[in-house]
Amino acid sequence: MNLTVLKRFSKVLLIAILMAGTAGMTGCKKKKELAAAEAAAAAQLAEDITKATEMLEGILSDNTLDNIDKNEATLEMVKSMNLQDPGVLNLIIKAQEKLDADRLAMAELLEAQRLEEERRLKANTDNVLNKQFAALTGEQDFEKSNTIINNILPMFTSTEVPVLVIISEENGMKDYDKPTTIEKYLNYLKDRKAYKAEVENIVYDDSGKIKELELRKIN
Amino acid sequence: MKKISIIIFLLGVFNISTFAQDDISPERKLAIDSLAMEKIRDLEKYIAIIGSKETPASEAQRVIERATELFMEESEMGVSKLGSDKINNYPVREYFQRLMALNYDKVTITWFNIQYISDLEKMPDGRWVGVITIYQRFEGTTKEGLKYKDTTKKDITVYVERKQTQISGRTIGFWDVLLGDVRVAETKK
Repeated sequence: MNLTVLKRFSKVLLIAILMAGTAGMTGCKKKKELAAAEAAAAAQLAEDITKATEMLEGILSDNTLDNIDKNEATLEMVKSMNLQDPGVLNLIIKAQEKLDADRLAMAELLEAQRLEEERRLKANTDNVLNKQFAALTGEQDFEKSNTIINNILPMFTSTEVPVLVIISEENGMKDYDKPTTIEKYLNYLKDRKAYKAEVENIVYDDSGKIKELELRKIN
Repeated sequence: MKKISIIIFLLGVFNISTFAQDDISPERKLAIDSLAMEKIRDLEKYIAIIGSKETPASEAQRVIERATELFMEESEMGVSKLGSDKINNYPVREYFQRLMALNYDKVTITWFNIQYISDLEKMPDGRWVGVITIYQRFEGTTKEGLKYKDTTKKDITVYVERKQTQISGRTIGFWDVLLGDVRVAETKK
């Protein structure tokens, strides 16, 4: 009986030792895996930081205003990486400031271009109108005069577009002749055979047609 | 006595400020004079167009509208004839219609010696009033080749008033020039 018990005890002890050995081996493996994972994460983080830094520096070194949208997208992408690296965070702030400044500069540039286009368009229209008005006063034939009028009128939103003629200006205060309409003014030029004014200001509607015309009388 | 002195003083100040408001610079006055003269030139041109037999009827009617707009309501035009002392005064629209229908084959009307005989002066009602004199040379030729010519001196009263209107939401100050009666002063060959 004692021998039997001893044999059984030995078996149980062997199993326990085997189990304990196996458990020890598994814990060690996990530790190694964890360390490897941490090392990989650290490497990935370092790689992300390097990549983000390069991208942000790319934005900062862009001296043009051509890639604002693309740079904005890049900045958003870097932000979404949620990197807490102080160097990256500092570059994000700088890149954001640069893009804000670029947006402002672009808006100013576009406004300057719009004003230049408006000035060019106005100068062109001034020229066209001045020439057409002069042509009208030089025409003796009623039918031909009416043809010129019919060619001019489509430049305006309607025949009722107001025409204001400045007769004098003092300290910024303008004195006008009685306001008239473009149709009446064109017929006036046809009848009077004299155009003693020049285009002072033109107001356009969204489709580029003239909705108000201001002239200045010249002597 | 002291109270009366104060009242007189205040009235004086009020009058001075009112006068200062009414006063306009010589440059602005010149611009108004010129504008009024321009309207007289417009009338000259309109009369020539209406009277001309070369003007299509539709154009003449249009010009009659424009010419009538130059005048104050109920203004009259004096008409005279050589050899007669009678002067007929017609409402301006009627005058223009008669002018258009004159029984001549060719009509030429020109104006000359156009000038102010009474400068624009400010009236108590705020309007500026002046008189411009013109000499009108009329020459009509009948189908048969008979010619009628005369030269009439006419005085035209001019009224100028400062007004305001709204254009595209802005208040515009303008000078409204309107012609009054046109009176015959003299007719000669």
